[in-house]
Amino acid sequence: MFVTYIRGVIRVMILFLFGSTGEIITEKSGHLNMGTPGIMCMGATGAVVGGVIYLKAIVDPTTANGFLAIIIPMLFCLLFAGLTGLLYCFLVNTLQCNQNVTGLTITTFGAGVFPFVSNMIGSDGLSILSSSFYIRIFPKAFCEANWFTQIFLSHGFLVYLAIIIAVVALLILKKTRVGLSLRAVGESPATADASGIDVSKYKYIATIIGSCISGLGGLYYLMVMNNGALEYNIESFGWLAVALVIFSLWNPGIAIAGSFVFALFYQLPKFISSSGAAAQIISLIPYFVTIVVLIVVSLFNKRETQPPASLGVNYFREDR
Amino acid sequence: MKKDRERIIRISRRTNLKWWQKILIKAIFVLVAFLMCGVISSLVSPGSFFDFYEYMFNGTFYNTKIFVNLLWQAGLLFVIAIALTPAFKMKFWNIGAEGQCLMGGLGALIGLKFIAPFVPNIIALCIEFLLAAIFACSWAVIPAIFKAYFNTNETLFTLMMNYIAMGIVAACVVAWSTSGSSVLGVVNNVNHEGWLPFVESFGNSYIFNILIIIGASIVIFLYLGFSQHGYELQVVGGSRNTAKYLGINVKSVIIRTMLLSGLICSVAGFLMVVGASHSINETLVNGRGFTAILVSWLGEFNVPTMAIYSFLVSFVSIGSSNAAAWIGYSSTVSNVLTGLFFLLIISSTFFVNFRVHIKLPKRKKNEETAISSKEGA
Amino acid sequence: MENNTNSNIEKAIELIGITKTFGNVVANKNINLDVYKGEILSILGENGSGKTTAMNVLSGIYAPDEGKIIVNGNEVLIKSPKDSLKLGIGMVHQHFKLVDVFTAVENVVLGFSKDDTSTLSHKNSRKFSLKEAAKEITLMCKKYGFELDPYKKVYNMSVSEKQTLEIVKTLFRGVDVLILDEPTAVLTPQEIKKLFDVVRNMKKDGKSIIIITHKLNEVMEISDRVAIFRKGEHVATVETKKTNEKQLADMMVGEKINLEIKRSEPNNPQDRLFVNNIFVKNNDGQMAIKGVSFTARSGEILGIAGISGSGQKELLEAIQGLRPYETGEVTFQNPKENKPVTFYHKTLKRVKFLASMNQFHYKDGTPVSFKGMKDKEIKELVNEGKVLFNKDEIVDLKGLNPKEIRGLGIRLSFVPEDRLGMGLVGNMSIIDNMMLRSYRHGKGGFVDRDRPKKLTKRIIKELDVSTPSAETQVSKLSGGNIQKVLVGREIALIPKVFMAAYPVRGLDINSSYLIYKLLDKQKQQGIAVIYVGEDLDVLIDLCDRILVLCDGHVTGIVDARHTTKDEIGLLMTKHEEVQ
Repeated sequence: MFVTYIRGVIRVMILFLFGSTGEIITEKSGHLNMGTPGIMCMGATGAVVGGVIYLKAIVDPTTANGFLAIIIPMLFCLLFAGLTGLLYCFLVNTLQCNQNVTGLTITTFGAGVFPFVSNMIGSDGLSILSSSFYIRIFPKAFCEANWFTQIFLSHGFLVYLAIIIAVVALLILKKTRVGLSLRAVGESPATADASGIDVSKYKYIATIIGSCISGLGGLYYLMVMNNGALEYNIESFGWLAVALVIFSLWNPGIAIAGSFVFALFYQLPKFISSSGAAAQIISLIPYFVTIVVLIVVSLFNKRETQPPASLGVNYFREDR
Repeated sequence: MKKDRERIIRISRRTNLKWWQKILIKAIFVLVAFLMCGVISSLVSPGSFFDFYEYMFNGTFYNTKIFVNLLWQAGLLFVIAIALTPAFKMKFWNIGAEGQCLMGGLGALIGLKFIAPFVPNIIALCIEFLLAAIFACSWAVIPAIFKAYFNTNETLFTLMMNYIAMGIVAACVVAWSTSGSSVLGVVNNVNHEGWLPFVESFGNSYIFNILIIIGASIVIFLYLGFSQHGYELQVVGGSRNTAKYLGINVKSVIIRTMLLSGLICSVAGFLMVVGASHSINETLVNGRGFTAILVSWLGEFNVPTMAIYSFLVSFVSIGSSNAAAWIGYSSTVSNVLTGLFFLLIISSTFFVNFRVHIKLPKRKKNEETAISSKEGA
Repeated sequence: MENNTNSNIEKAIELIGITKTFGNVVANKNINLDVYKGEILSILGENGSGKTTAMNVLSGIYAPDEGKIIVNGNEVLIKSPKDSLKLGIGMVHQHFKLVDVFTAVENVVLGFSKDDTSTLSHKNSRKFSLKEAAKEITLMCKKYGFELDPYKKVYNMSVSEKQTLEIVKTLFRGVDVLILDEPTAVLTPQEIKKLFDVVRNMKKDGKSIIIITHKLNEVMEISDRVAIFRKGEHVATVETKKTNEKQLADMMVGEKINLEIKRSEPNNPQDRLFVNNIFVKNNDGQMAIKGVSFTARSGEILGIAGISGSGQKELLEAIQGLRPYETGEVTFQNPKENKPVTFYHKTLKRVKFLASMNQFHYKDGTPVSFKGMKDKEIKELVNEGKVLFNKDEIVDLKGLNPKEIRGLGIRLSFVPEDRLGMGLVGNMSIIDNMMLRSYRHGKGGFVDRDRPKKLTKRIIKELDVSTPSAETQVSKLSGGNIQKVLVGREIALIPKVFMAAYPVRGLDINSSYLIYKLLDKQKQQGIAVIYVGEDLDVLIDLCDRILVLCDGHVTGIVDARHTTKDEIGLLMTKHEEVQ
């Protein structure tokens, strides 16, 4: 029972982790991307489109090649999410539009596109493709060996990918020249610019890579959490992922732990198997926890735990 | 370094745009947005370009009833945008209108369900509104208190409050619905106790609701533009230190303004429940709280401009879902087109604020041409 | 120091025909300027004369509308600060471009890429290692005589440390031309001396240094040549040896100007404001004012001198009621002797209480007692102005906020240091900013815009504010005009005490002298003026008494008519000698 619960927690946690790692990278460049929920929707849309294209090509879903079944939806997912990130960045960086408004619009847009496109092209056979995604990467006997392997080592590859991405992001931010430059861009773009860093380039690349990572969350949601069935509830997950960024103090390492905690609460109603009104109330716990975290973070105001100083502010070099 | 790497496009900030040039730029983008709607429709369903507009107008202007429905939907969006505006002017980024309206609706429904059958109608309406106001205001004031005293991030706080409100409403619906159907039927369906009166000649129309919205918008217009409170909240938004310098109590201004925001949200919730659906579910507000943020922002916190945007957005949204139904594709297209509409309006702000200079490579200087809008200079 | 600035010396940089506009404002108009190798060139001009803009063009911040830049004889295209750095041009901006949460070494290596070459060994250019970089920084500091801890976070640094870091940062890139924008504005006399030594060391090293400034004495002290900018144009370049301060000032302003400040005699000085042994904390929770006492008198200008950050800001804010102080008190002596009592700021109850304490007399001098009188009769007597105060009213201001202080009928004007951050609201119109002090006078909870409108028109006219209209947003005005709006509004309050912190910072010479004149006029009208300044010459010429602050202590109050710059300078740094 407990093992199943924690396994379920890890399943949900990965969605949060994709979303918030992507958003952290974006925010480190000074872009407060409230479009992340929409970008996750776009990622899911890409996965549907890629999946359907592959299914059409092979005609019979049962003959699907495991590798192609993964790689094609994934490429389309990255393409869709990346292009949406590019659109966001073009609007706020090149066209200097307001970040909050643009982000919210992207969310509206993405949340509309996902059901619209998947209704239009249908999703028959996606569930068969999805099995390639949650196939375990370790041998079955090994996975079932004991509680530890059951909980931590019996997942599909996307789970480990998410954690690897978070760790790599952490190392890049803390240990490399690129990370230093990116942090500088988010803290003070004028300083970065005067130091010879191409601010626009960094903003574009960080936003697009961040969006791609968030978009993978959409793929994960579609293929792993819902086994290829079309569910349109990504938006609320997306917002929790955005909230998780604050919880993580803009640190992808803490985001791993944070997403676990969020998922722990998210799965609680299932664990204590309640139903009816009580279940509704219990499912609110993650939101309460987020609020408590927000308050606690605001109570302990430390210099190092602050958001990037120029978060949400557009940079235009010639402004005086 | 070679000469040929010289930049071709250069951007500079604009300072001298006249009001009509601004309107012209925006109008061009609105037109482009409308054109895009048709283009998308013909992409989805080839050959439907002109049909799309026909159905779009049919769904919004066909007869009085349909038109009043458009006005009501636009009004609803408008009143929520208005509710957000005082907070935005104070630079308090309240994105919790969704939850505040929903809680207002819940309050009104409690009055409708448990009190209205036992008291005269006018008293029932007052009680319903009072309950709506208490619920919505408390939803708005909780984040405000934390913002005022601990500077807690209000954006995510209000966002989380939305989901909590939805959960509470869902729980109430489950608890109140008979036989566990998880759907609450129309309350007081027989004798209409506690319903807002409706004008028979328009059928079950929303004239009364629209009048209340107009009233609320006038109040906010005056409050923002001419009252001392409205002035104070702008000072707080402009510079906290200046507000302190004048001895304005920043904390109380924040809380007071959010109470007002909640109050107007409660009007929206009250009208949705008592004046329209007479029932509730967690998707009662249906994303209007978010759309209203965009309306308020793009309307530059100016009440008349917000009215125009609310109308246009509702027109696109209702019209396109009608067109989708007739042409035969998913009605979720209305979200896509609304998103697209906003994206184009947002892009237009660039051309209002900036000027693009294009320097053609081979020619010598002094031949810079300014594009971007139709002004001669 | 012998140097010859003949034509046979190589040119490091040539600007040819540079023009730059912002909207309708021409910031630079056809600028032609040469910089020689191994010289110190001062660029002198008033604020808004375009000297910083020209240098920003050179450092790649602004793209010029027209013109050419020639570096070491080759025409170059500078599209970004990166290009400029590659050409060996580095700039230290007036508002430091540093990342606050980074350490010194992180700031130094920022933006340094693999393909950059430099004068130093730079193993760092291949491998990213902060340790190596920190070692190199220490070496470089030794070479030029800097002091810098490579692992200190910028937000813990003093202004001069930040400036050192900025210079190290540019030198680390191996620049040949170093531009310093107003480098001395925030430094103490000692720090300035140290900076100039470093600059001379760099010159010996063969580097060209451009110093942007508007301080004439520094120009004379440090530079080889002076380029003078006026209203966006480069009007002349002269050799420092062949000119003098007066000539430079005239060229800078474009007309013969009178650099004299008229000081009137104190007008019947009376004690007005008592500050007694107060302790005030700054925003970081540290004690900024440590037991300060003084008295400000009416009809007199009290100057406050001190190194910036010695507690001036905290002191004024505490007096205004903006900042709490636990110990000590601030009291205000309201000049009421023989003035009629009114109900304007006092309730009937309060008036009766004061009468019972024998505080009032009738016009003929007999003491007032309201014994046996009805409320109506008392009201009549008071309203007819027949009841007068015996003596001045002493009001304790401790624990009151600005609104409450005004509620007691005490008008303290305050022109704070950070004009747009405190005192004005940048995104509101001039009229709405005029209304800040008076918006509560409207009826029925509404605001009255008529009187502020008239006041705005009057101030625009009297103080010669240049603005497109009264509806223009304040943040769109230039620094000098913003200050005129603020000072104008505060004077219009008809205050009893007028406090101004650095009111001429960033203003051109004419605006500065207008402000000095206005301050002197306030004094003549019997107002107690407190003036916090940074230019010691001005303090000595303008004020009657000068209070010197050092690290939150008063190290002396001197008579401005009988003091010298040296005396004040010593008092400003007194604690350093004690340690």
